[in-house]
Amino acid sequence: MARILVIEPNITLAKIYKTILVRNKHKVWLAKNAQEAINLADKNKPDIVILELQLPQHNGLEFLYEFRSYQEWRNTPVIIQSLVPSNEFKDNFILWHKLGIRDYLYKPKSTLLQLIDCVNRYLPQAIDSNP
Amino acid sequence: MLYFSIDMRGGYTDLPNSTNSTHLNESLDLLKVVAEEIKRPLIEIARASELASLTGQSSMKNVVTTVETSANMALELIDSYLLGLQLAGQQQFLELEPISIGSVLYDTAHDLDQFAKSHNAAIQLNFKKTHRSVMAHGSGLHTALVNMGRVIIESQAENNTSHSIINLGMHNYSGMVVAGIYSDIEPIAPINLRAACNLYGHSRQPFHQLSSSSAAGIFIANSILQAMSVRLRTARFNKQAGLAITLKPSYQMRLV
Repeated sequence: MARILVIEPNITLAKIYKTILVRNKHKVWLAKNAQEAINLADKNKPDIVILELQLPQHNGLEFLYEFRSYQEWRNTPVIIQSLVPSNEFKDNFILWHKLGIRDYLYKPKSTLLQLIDCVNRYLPQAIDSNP
Repeated sequence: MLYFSIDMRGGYTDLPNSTNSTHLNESLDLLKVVAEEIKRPLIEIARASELASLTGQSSMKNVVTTVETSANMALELIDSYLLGLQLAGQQQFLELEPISIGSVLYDTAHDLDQFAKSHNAAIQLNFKKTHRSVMAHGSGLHTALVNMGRVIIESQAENNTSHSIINLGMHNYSGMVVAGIYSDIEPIAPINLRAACNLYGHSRQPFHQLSSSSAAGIFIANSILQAMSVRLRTARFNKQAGLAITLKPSYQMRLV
């Protein structure tokens, strides 16, 4: 079981992600924006973060800079699940690596099963980074 | 330089001047934001269907209503886009008529009600019973208000944790009638609205202070209002901030 923070402004999608992740025995918290996400992360110490880049006010990358600035979250796996296609960031792989982005799922083409696979793939790593 | 437009048969037609080209560019920019916006409800429907097949119907109860509302709003967005194109095409001959702004706001509240409920908000009408009539294109004004409302509702849901009240309000200002949609989200500055209007079609989140989406509703509303020679602006009403339209009052219906 992992503690997962899902940062998703779309209420319907957030509910869908929560339902499927809870069914897979994970504990899930939902945040709609960057500020809420930081507060929830502080309170609940997530093992994995699933992040949409298009957030209101502060975008996903701004959130990541802030998130990574805390020592305890330096190695927490972050999975991007976004409406923004990954090829728009083709020049930014170094930045991705720096920000510790483990995987990138393009929302229109990624299924719930792929999301679950992705979470399970980074689960051992996640538990190690947040003992 | 040659200018091209894509006709309905998929070929190209020469355009004689740059005005048509500008209009085409604006339409394409609007089409881009609409396409981005339409992706969202389609993803919701796709993932909700997948969830149903993975887990059975029981888990669907929570999401099925919101998915239906989103699908309906997506269809409305397409209709609004088409109405905007149609009004822009007949701008010089657009028939403005005296209409009751109160009844337009009432219809708007009715259309947004379910969408607001699914986003943890409630719609409230806020104007005096003495309905003013204004000179406008009835369905254009209604469509613009519904689209503005949808963006405001989504925005408050993304930024607020508690249940919110969205006000549909009307008041008089300098002899004009101001109708708008207001919420408790951070005040929307006029400079942000102007910047967003310049950015749309070029940015995925042109109005990032307000919404995580492409905020297509605002730009569709703006295109409809422009066809009616009315300007979309930011406004404050009863300590809330929002988007409003200033309309010219009509005195004809006062006799009725």
